[in-house]
Amino acid sequence: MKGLVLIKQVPNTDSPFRINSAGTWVDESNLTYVLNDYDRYALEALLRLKDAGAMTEVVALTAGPERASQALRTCLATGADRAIHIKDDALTAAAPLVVARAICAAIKGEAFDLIACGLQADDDNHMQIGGAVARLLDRPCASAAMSLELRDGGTARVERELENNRLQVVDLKLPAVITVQTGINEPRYASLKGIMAAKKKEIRTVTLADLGMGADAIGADGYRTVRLTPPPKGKGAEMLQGPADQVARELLKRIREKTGVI
Amino acid sequence: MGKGGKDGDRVPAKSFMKALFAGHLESSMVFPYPRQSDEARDTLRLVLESFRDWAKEHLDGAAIDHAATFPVQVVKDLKDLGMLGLTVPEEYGGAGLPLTSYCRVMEEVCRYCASTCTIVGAHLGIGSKGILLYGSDDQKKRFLPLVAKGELLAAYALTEPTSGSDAASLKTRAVWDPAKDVWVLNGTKRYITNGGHAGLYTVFARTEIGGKDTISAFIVTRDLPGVSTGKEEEKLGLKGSSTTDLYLANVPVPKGNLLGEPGRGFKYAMEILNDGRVSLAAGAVGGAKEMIDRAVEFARQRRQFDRPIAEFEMIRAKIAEMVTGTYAAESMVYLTTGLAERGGIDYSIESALSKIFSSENAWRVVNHAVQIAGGNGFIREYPYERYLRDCRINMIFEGTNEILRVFVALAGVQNLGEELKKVGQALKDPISQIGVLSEFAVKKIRQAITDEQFPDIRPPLQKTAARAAHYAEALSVTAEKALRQHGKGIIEREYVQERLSEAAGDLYALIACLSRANTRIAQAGEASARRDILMTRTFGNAAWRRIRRLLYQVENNQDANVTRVSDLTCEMGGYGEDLIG
Ligand SMILES: Cc1cc2nc3c(=O)[nH]c(=O)nc-3n(C[C@H](O)[C@H](O)[C@H](O)COP(=O)(O)OP(=O)(O)OC[C@H]3O[C@@H](n4cnc5c(N)ncnc54)[C@H](O)[C@@H]3O)c2cc1C
Repeated sequence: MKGLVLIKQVPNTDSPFRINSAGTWVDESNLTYVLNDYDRYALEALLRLKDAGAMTEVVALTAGPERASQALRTCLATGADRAIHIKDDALTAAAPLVVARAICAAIKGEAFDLIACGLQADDDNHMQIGGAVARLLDRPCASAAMSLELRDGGTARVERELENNRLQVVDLKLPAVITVQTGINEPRYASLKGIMAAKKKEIRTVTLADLGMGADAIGADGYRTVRLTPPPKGKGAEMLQGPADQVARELLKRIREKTGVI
Repeated sequence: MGKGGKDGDRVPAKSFMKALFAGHLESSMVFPYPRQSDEARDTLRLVLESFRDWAKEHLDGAAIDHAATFPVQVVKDLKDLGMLGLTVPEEYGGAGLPLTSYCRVMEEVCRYCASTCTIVGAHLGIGSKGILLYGSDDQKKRFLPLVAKGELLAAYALTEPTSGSDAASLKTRAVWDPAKDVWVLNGTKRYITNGGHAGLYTVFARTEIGGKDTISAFIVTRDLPGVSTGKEEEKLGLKGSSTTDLYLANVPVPKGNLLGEPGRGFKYAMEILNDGRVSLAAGAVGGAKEMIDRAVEFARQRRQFDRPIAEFEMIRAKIAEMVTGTYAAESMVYLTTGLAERGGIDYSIESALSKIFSSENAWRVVNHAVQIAGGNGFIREYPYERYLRDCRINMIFEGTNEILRVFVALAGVQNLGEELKKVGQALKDPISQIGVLSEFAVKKIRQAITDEQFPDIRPPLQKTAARAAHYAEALSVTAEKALRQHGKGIIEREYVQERLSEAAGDLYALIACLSRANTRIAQAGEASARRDILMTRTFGNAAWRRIRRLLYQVENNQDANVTRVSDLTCEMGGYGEDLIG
């Protein structure tokens, strides 16, 4: 049984975010990047299946510019066996459906029994890749997985997180796709041993052109970013100033005074 | 001495600062600024990323400080992550990280928790370093895999109750027992980091080798009979680290545990600290960066008189001093690790200067951060006071800053003496006979150094570089004068030593900044080096003025008064007269 985890490299949320001069995306010059947090949980979910002997190989895939290979290295250091990098600068601004098409093209000929990705990417919050890939491959998909268990007869049982503290239990017939919620597990940290071992692991690189997708593929699906703006300033909000712990104390005090809840 | 200097390699390794004291600007040793290979950088990035991910959740420096006990779970986690084998070669089960990467990791550890940084530093930086540098294949095979896994936590045991700065006066003794084929060790070691939790101690002891009283180094494991440790010391800071006495009572140390060659122990003890000091400096840089981040966050948010306090000039001055000093310290540290990694280079002065500069910078930075934070700075709930307490020790251990200043100045002028010797007649005792050197010889040296400049300096840095070159010469000329004036007596002239080593430190810092900024311009263009240029110029302007003052004061001072005041006070047994009561 083979697993594929779809990952994305996203700006570190501690980075200084400024909108670029075109007003379409953030200015990338001062950003540092990390593996999307949700994806760490997706990777961990597959690695646990491998640890348990249920899976023979875990592959990590990303679609993104050159720098995104760093996030793949992180996955390899954490335990993924090999990686695939669909490398193209245009992918940064590409619509989810285009990315999903590229992913499906890149894994053609490989049989993955379970494809996992994070519930969403911390930067663009689309929440579409998992669903789109499942649709293009014609596979069942469960989003917001809070647990994952392989069962006899080629199915996976998944608990999905719903609003209001409810869980929905579903069975997916494999091969299938899941998008993973952060509470599903506690991701491991890459060990020094893993980091050293990762140096010998393969990252296969393909370009959009290799996949038969020309430059016109980007934006050819009726989706275009018009503008990126900060939200309008709200009225009547009071900003509490100071270090976090001081703010927290002040906040607690006000909640007490105003609501009497605590 | 470079790494792995075996007995017999008598060719002195090149040293940038020693050459500088002797009037030679060996620019090619420090330009361009060292850069790690892409592979090393990639590995380092992964290590830092993994460490941060873990540390954010599991390394709570404040909690460790409050608990004031050895953080057993943290050390276990570090073990699982492989962090306790960071620098142990891969063939022995470690990650084999080079010194630069190790220092960068230590910086990060210290941002979170200085106690943890000290635990790791004592384990890898000094506790097991001797085995790495001087151990036999057999010793490496026996101990390093256990060290790398963290199954044996290591410690470095040099200091004793009556032997601190004067380490060579240590009293612990190892006597060879031919009947049992063991060295029998007796003695007490004091203030040993990791003491209470270590399984392996690198112990320095007196030995009689060929009728001569010498010092040798031994690997002492905790399981040997007669090994015990004292109570945990209660400390000002680093409260999570273990500091204890180590007692050795008739400990039979197998002959296979003698480290390197007998009689070379003191040299080993000093060389191990070369790397230890630069990683200690890196930790201090990390602590300083953390305090800068916290102080800046606070200064931007805290409003008084209807403005963020960051806008007041007295706060600005502090922030600027914190950042330029830390920029300089960081530049020195990684210039030094770059030198170390090139091999065949003596970086002992550079690492001592990095330690002095970074530890004092960190103290200044944290002190400013406490001040910027106002009342919060004094309150335990906030991080400032902890960093203040934790960073104080950096000026004391691994060689007090006083002792290191003595070392820098004397190693510098000693080399100058040798240089003078080369030019003049073959003198037997350079220091005592320098007075007889012909004026001609001295002039020749001076000629050799005048007008030596840094090559290929980019326009925005040219003025600063010219200052640096000028004061490099001035340092050498002043040192030479002092040496001729005092001869051998320079050993007793600590007022002079302090000024020379202070000037040398500022100079090395400035050269490190210049190299870093200039290399940045060359590689990435002036626009991306804007910050580097600003830092280098700002630091440089302050540094050359300090250097000028220090060198001037070598001959123009009130040292005599200072001596009198100090002597008088000691005579009186303290402050003395009570003005009012
Ligand atoms: C928390 C902690 C951890 C430590 N960890 C270790 C460890 O792991 N291993 C180890 O071996 N040691 C360790 N030490 C010991 C430490 O290295 C020594 O305390 C230090 O070297 C100073 O020695 P001392 O305390 O005997 O002071 P002293 O040498 O007595 O010095 C007292 C003062 O006199 C000054 N002084 C001494 N000689 C001169 C001189 N010639 N010129 C000018 N000033 C001078 C010193 O600078 C200092 O200010 C540790 C100490 C502490 C507090």
